Amino acid sequence: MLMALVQHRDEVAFGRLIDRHLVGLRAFLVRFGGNVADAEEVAQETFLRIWREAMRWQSGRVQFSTWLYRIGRNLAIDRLRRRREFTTDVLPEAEDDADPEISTSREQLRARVAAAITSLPERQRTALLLSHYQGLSNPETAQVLEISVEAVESLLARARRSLKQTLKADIDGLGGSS
Amino acid sequence: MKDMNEAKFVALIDTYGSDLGRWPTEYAAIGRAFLAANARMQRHLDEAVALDRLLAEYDTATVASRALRQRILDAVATPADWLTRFVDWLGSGPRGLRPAALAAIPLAIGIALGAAIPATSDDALGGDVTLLAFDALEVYTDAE
Repeated sequence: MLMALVQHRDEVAFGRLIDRHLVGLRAFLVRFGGNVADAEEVAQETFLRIWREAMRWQSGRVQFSTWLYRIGRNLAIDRLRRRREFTTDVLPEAEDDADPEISTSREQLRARVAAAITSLPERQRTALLLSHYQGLSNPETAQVLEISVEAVESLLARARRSLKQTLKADIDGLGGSS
Repeated sequence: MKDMNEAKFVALIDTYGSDLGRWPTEYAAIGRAFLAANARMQRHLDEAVALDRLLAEYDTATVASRALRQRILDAVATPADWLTRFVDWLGSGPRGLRPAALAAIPLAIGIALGAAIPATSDDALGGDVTLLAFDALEVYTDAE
């Protein structure tokens, strides 16, 4: 068990833990906040927090991935809160952070989807991202959010209904309504 | 089938998406049967399929950068690890770089020692030089 080794300050095991979970965590954080640079900083801080507080993790009590996403989400919320103290809005950014003029229709579509997700209320957004993109089960998502499974189901349903409204024109364009 | 109706079917689509394979097993079979028996339900499913296709557009990198991984590991590395990595780097680096790096070590030690030793003030040094000069003069005078 990697975390047992990490609890004994095994840096090789920690490296393997990063290899196993960094891609997923980073993807979650990019979609959560819509900003690549912030997502990578939060991902780094999340793993450092895990390294520092490894002894607090108890095998069998909660899955590692659940603990990881819980820490990442909390740090991302803190970061967005601090940022909003200085700016009035956080606009979703493209993955490469480099294209001020979106040039293709596909990139425009991607930006609209990103904006629609980012504009969801935080708990709806987290539930959707963990369930749809990260593949967590509803009980796992419930553990991350520290709510009941029924509450997760409600959040997911509301998130999808909201996205259907926001992206109605695009859904119609794909032949999604008649 | 008595447990399924249009509202419940739509609610399940909203909760679990268009892929009935991702629905809870207790609902998946009932959902498929309800869909087959109610052509109107296909419209709800098509809408959910379109939404899932849109969500798939929001892809992100499937690999994290090596730089990010290394930043995290560097942040937790102990000094002993730094030394080990430096020695490893010397052993694996480009041929021309290794002698240069080795040659730089005494230079770095010299700079560090120079910074660590307290500087002698110019006045004190100047006084010493002056005394040496008179000392030499006196010896010369005595000899005459």
